[in-house]
Amino acid sequence: MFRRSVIAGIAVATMALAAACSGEASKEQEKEEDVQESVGDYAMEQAAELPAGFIQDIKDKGVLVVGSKFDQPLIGQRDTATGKIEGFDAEMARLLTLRIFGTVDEEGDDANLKFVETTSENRETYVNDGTVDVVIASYSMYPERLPNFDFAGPYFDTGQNVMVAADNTDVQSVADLAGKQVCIAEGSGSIENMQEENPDAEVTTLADYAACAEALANGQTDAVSTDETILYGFTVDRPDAFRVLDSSNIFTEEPYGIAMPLGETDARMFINDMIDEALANGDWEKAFNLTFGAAGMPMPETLPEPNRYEPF
Amino acid sequence: MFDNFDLMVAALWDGLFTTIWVTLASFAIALVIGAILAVMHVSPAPPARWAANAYTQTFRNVPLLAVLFILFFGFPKIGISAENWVWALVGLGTYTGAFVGETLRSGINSIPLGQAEAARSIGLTFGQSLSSVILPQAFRSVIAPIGTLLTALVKNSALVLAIGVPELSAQAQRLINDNRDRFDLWAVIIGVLISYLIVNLIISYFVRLAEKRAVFVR
Repeated sequence: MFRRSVIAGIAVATMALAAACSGEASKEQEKEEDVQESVGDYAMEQAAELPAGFIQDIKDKGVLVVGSKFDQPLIGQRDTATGKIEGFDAEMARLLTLRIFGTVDEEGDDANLKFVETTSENRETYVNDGTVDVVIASYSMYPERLPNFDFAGPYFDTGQNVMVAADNTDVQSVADLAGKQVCIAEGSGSIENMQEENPDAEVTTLADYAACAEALANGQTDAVSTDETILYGFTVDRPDAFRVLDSSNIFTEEPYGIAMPLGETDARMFINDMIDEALANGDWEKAFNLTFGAAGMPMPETLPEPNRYEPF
Repeated sequence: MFDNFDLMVAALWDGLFTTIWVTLASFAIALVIGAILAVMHVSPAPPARWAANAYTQTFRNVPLLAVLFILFFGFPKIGISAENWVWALVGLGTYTGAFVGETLRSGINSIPLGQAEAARSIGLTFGQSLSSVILPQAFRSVIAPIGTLLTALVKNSALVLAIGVPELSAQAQRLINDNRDRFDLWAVIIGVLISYLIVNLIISYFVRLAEKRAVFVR
């Protein structure tokens, strides 16, 4: 009798698991179709003429290699089921591929768009040693970085904002954080920004922002603060748990740019043209709605404007 | 290489200070837990031996980071909350305590059984024979391995950055990711390396000194 009930229990558990898996699978499929459609939907066309050198070389070798984040929701995240990279940075990479090749093919050996995972630590090395052609990985084009790389863009303007628990009504602005605990990833530049913006806020650190979000859900911290784009990545999974403060609270400038080796001025201007084109023909908005917009981020009031600075 | 060198040294010194006090405080906890475990290991009561064994097997076979995460993220879920540094000390202390217990037990086992029997036969209780005959000898023979555990603890303490204690490695990460790129990557890495090396060399020196003092003729 005991054994029979155990077997029945296992059978029920297995069925439940199978049901859960198939539900998951169909969700993944839907997501994949979304991305597929989005690539087909873009109005971006192949450029009439490619600048000689960097861009023409990419066209000749038949593949654009993009350094991207693989673990950042909404920016660049690898879908473990399909292997696709999803997020705004990935959409920018797809638009650039359309601009160079006229088509986007990410599957198989003939793919003309390949993603390589880059982190904050290795992205400089990857650009310089040619592991990747360009880095599109939420890389802020700070003035002091411009002499080291050529940066096209910004293709997205963001900055540091604050996320609190959904039921927290006390905190409506950065000033309200005085005396409150604010969790920031260890080693992040956001620590210093917060200390400068509101010295009365009590900064605590954890290994990464996922840990900070967990601590916020647990009630171990009052707020989490970093780039708004990253914060919205956590509201996707738990829309009822977290609330990102109004965008008017943003207190730093993070202009995300596309990095390539220093001295590639023609390539930089070509990519700036691509960004302008995407902003003009509605592709940029489509990419936004597919990623940040779907997570509840309001459309920015002012759109980014590529900075066509003089070469150093 | 030496950009903003004074700022870097100040930050690393802050971190080193945290590393040192976290290490010493958690080591004190580990010694207490280890001594209790060792007594339980050799206790005549079987349940005490079982409990000590269960504790040792658990903590020896679970990664330290997992212990820290369970403490920091798990306990608040059941209503027990504390400051980050408290969890760091508890995590490092309970984890290292298992190793200290095993080391002390091996020390106790190195004392010939005849001594314990002799102690009991002259009328000493179990506690008395441990405290005045067995443990003083056992401690002397385990000074070197306990010193090794202390140096391992210094290095393990780097993991508490994951639960928000800004020790040496955490400070190094902040310097490397500085907003204004003020610090040289290699200067920071070498600075951290030297800091850990100095701490552990000093520990080794004192352990060797203690070992020499404790030498006795059997």
